[in-house]
Amino acid sequence: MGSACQVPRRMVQFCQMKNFLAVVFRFLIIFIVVDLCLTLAWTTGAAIDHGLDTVRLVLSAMLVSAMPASITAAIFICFFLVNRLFASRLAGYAVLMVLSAAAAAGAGLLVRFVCVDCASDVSALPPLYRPIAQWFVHISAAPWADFAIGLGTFAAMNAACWSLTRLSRNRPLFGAFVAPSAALASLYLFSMYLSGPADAVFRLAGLDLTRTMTTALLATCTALGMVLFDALFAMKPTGVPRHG
Amino acid sequence: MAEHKPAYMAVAIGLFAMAFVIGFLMALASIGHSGVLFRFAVSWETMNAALAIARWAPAILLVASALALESSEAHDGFTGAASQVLAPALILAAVISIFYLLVVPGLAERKARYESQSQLFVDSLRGAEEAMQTGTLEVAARNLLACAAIDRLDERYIELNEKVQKSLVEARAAKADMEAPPEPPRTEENDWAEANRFYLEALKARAEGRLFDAHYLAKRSAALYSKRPEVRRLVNETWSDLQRLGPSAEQKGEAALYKRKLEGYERFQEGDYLEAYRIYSELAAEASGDVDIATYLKRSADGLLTIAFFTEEDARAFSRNDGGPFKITVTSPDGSISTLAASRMAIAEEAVYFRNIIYTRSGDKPVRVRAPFARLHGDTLLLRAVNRDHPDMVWEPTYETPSGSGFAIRLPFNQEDATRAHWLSGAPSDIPIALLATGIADAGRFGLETQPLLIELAGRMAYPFAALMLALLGAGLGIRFKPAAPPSTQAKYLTAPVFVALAIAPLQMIADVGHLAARALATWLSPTLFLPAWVAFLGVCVVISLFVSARIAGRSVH
Repeated sequence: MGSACQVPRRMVQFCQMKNFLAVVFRFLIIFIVVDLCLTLAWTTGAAIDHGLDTVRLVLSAMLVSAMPASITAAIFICFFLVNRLFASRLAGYAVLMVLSAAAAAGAGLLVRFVCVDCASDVSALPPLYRPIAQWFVHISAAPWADFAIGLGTFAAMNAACWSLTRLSRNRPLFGAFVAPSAALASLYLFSMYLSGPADAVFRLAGLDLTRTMTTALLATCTALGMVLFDALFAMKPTGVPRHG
Repeated sequence: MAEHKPAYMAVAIGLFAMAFVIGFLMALASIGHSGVLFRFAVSWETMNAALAIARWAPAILLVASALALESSEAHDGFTGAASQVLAPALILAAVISIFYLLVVPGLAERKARYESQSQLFVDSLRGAEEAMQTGTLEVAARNLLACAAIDRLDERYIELNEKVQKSLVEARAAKADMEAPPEPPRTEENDWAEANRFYLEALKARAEGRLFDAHYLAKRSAALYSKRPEVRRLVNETWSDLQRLGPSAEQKGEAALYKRKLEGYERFQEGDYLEAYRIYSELAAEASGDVDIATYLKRSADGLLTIAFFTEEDARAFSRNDGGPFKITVTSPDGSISTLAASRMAIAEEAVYFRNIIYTRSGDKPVRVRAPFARLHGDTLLLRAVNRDHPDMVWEPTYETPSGSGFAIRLPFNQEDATRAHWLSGAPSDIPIALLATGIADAGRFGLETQPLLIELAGRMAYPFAALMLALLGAGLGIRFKPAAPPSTQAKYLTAPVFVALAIAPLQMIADVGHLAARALATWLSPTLFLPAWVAFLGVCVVISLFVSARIAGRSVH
């Protein structure tokens, strides 16, 4: 595995750990900043519509609701750092998957044990995001198997979009412009997977599955499709620092 | 290696040109579904193309900046690199701001006018077709008049108008036929007998000295049976007697005309301008060359305009613009609240015209009045409308309270206030910047919501700041994601539309956040504090974007 860290062989392990920790640190910082920003924006919206008195009531709900979007935003921004630190796709995906899944599980556990009734009111959220917020609260309180499958596939779908930042080696700017739109598209797609029509597709095929399972199945298919796309079309990560 | 200077301005102008062409082509492709009339097609497509530039301008500014810095050879700090695009970015920010502030509202308003006029044309045409099918030709003709005011050359209009006019002529002819009494079957013998009866009556009338009757009956006898010379002779003799014994028919006509003129003059002197106008209108049809009639027709019309107005003025105003529903509420110094609501309004140079109004005034003597037509000139609201061609057709107000009367009401606001209220109550994006900047206090006075106007003003004030922030952010991205070898010019321009398309959704999200901030400030701050707070917020955003861009670029701000 190549690395940006130019050190003697015996230090490779230390270097890998250092890179991993750098990504974790970056991820956590971005996750917290985005979560706070989204919470601030959505709480402000709720306060404008329903008065300042509602701030206390909706604040925790918004903090919880913003978590899936924050995980998506943080993982997408981390793609660029991973591009620079890891030259292997396998290592990159492993890091991103672990990070994304750990964040999703951590957020889910937080909701499960601390704040299970927090996100009962989602009216202040953008309409397209409401199904994701409701799903997140629902899956956090679900049986452990559903919890693991639901959050794991959500994390996998996010991590699998890594290839979109490596579309062209000659024009790295492509990745910079694709990533924000792709993050939004990923959330939009996931909310579509949570909708009735997605269930109907499975019923049409004769499969009677719960919504959790249909969503997980569709997210897994998307993740696998993105990994296949990576193998066929995307460039390998450089694993070297940027130009200039 | 040769120095690749950033050509921010060139890239931006190139992208704006591409946006115009793409916008035009998109409008061209969608015109079939838009319902816009062929007459407006090119103008509508051009407006759409210009509005596409406005819509995509933020993304274009971001991409232009990124592309310019992507191929630069800057090696100093972010500020040094970004400063290469800052000067042209500031110029573009000014140009874009002027474009947004002064041009875009006009473009949007013109585009909306083309669409609403096309819709009105189609609706009127449909109404005319339906009326034609149900046989209500007058309604069809009225609908076609509305079509003619918009596009006389439209083939659908021409075809239907010909049909309606033809049907109208046929209907009138049929009506005239039905009104005429059925004639008995005529034979020569019957005609002779009937003619002889008239002849004998004529002789009797002549003997009794009733010369008019004698001449009339003799003429009828001759008309029925013309072969009797004695009847023809009687006709000639009674006519000679008529001319010899009394004033000539011409003299009698002049006397009658004079009598009617005098009657009209008396009505005029009494201030009954409507009746005077009716009399002089009839006389003008009979004697168009009479100087007195022409003079007093005009004077009575002028007098009439003090107590009523002509519906043709209303029709003319509405054919030029239709402002839709209208409402204004004004509180007078004495505490009484006046509200004028109308189903439609049209602004003309000389006055503002309303249809189906309800005017209410609270206070000691409350007033509530309805009128189908109304005209506001100065601060006087006229509630009586007259058809100029058919002065018998008059639309008058209906008072629902005992305290009101009359055809004119003095309002606590004037024509200019009504015009301003109309503009300020429309879509905030269509309001000209000058009116928006000065009209927020007026909007409060007219009972309109001021928050949407403050938010719109905030949005427009943000244009130069946003242009600057986007240039900085683009510079950061361009420096950070610089390729090993600068891309060719063709590659730049070929990929630029993709970049622009990709940037639109995330930028829209950021714009939504800005809109939310403006809403928050407009909700929680007073209007006087709002603008300074908003400018401070924008300044902070520019500083944050500078540091974020530097962070993205991975260079320090020197």
